[in-house]
Amino acid sequence: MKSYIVEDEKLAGSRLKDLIQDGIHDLNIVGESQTGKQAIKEINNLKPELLFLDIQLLDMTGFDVLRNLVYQPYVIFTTAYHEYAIDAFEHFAVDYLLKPIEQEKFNNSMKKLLKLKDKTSVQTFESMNDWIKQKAKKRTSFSIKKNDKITLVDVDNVAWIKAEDKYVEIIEKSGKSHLLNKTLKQLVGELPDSFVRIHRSYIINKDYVYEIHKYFKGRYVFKISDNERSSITSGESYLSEIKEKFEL
Amino acid sequence: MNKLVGYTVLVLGTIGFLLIYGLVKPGMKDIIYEKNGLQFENLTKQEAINPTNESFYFLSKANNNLTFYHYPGHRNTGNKIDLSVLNTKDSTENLHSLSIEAANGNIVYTEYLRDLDQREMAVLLSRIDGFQGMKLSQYTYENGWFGYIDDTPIIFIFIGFILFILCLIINSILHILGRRFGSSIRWLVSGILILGLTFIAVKGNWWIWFPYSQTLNTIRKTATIILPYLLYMFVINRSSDFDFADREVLKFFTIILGTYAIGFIISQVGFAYDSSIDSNVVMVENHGPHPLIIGFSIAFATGNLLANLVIHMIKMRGSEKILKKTELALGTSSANMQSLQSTINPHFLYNSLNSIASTAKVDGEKTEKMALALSSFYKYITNKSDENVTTLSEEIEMLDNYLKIEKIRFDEVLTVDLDIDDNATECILPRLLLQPLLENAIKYGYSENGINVQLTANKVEDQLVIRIYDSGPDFGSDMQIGFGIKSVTQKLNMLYPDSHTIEFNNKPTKHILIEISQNITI
Repeated sequence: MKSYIVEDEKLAGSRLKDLIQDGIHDLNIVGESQTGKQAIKEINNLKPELLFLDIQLLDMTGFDVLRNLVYQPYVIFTTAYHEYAIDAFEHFAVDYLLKPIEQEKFNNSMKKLLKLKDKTSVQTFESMNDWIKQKAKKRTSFSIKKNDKITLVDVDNVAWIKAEDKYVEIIEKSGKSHLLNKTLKQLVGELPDSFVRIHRSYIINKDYVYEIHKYFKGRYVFKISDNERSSITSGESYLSEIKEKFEL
Repeated sequence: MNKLVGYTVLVLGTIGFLLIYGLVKPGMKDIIYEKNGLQFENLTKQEAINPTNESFYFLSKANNNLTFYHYPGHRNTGNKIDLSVLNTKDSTENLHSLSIEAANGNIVYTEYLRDLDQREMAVLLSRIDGFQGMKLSQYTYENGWFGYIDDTPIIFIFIGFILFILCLIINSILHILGRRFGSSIRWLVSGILILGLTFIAVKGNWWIWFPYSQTLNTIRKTATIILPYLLYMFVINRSSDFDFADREVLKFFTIILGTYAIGFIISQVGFAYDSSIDSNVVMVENHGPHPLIIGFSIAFATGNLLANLVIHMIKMRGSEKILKKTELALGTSSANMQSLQSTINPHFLYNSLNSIASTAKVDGEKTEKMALALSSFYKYITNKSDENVTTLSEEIEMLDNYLKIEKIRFDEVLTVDLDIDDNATECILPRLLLQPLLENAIKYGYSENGINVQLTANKVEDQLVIRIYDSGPDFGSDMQIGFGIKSVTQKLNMLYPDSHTIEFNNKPTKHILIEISQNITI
């Protein structure tokens, strides 16, 4: 079977070749590359039946390579550690090898492949990619651009967020605040689970709430342990979400 | 608590001020229009515009004397009768009573000005035999919100109390309705109440009017009642900036000041409009809203404030305080620091082990080099993990081990250049600050010419200045921090909360800039 290896490290590539040789698999390595760009060109040219594909390449991701192929090969993903990718492989039942790759695991993978002879569809790869992107979409920071400088604010340091006209104001636990050219609505889907929207104009970070007081009309007052010890009253319409998130 | 005291003083002060102000300030009469040197008071629009209608009379304020003119009009007799004038001679008479003298000197009618029905009076007067005219006792402006100095506080307090009870009832009902049917029912009921009040005001003729601009007249009445409430509902009530006390106090002031301001503005506009149509119409005095409306709005605002306070107190009585403490809020920073230090991206570890497994078969020497470098690197991480800071030279030594591994992994693709100024080697910085930065630079530093990473460090005055350059594409405008950079920012924030800088620059070339103050002892 004509095979091709895409690995950003030469050593990882030679590790695969060793595994193939030692496992006495009937694979013929027709080529190898370290970058996605080179890989796309060569694979489309050589049309190998099987691809060993690293998820994170130097210049792009493995998915970008697959998207640019003119035909559909068998694919076995290889990765060292990837929070979301491994979940995705399991979820979509796609073949993968975890580095450091063990001979036995490699042999099993080959057996499975030869027995099944069933290619994973392009759609599966795409939905897998979307799935990973969705997971990875959770914001870890805000980039605040001033002139040509970018300052990063870790979301874990953000105590609360306030809608300000066309901007949002991000207030760090230290009391520092930053304006960001976004709307609360845009942010809602991107923020980690610790952020709860409690009002049309406010999102607060659960981790910085030190007291919650009951208020009228199904509202609550949240005391935030930022520098100013801010207290924020929730909106009535956010009651059910608040109850759920704060287990009230 | 201080805020609450402040608010109490503010509200009580305002009520007190308005009370005293209302007592000493001249009460505002209905609008007086002047035409042909005569002033018409309390006339209908039609009468003011066309004073030749039927039996007719009006007042003159010339020479500070008020004179009552009787003018039967031509239809009565077919002839225009000269005005019969009887000037007031005696100014000591009762302030607010009207007495009419017959030609023989007998007083034939006395009426309190307040309840004067002029049309009926005119009919009555025209029937008096030998009627020459009538005398109006000198009219000076009465004091007080309601026109009479003696009854103002009583009426004010009385109306305020009634409104307080009303607000208490209405607000409680609204609260119960709101709990049962959702907030929209409260809006509905409040809306109906305000619209009803507006309807009464527009229909009622006790409020000031403009002879030529009926539309403005209606707008004025509607706006003076509705706008302050809308202002409150849509601006203050919708913002979370305000807690209960803020909200109530702001409502109090919005209603009173809003009513006055809107009433005043529209009065001015109305007068300007009317006098542009008829140059004889001049403003005799600066008019705001009718004193009754101001009095009413103060009474309402106060009553509502008190009612809401009572409801608030009843509700807060049983309210529970839910306490929640988080570790982050308590600031267990040293524990965080330790867990941060010992975590090194597992991606790197597994990749390195994979590479070692690969070289083991072909290149024993390389394998040895790599395994030893990896173990030195991890030794550094685990050994002194209770120390938070280190010197730059120690940190660079560790980096050498780390880079040995990376160079084997990426072979000739990777070039790293460390450029450390001699004056910087003894500088203090958080332990394991630079490794994640280099790892990041390698990860995102790929270009057609390979991965080129440069680290420079020097000491400028009291700052350790570190720059990490890489050859990859520029930082995106919405870049996200990953595992490595997060640990870097956390370390800097914990150890140097106010004495560090970290910047991601694309100019002149892509680099990360870190400045750490050397004046701080950790």
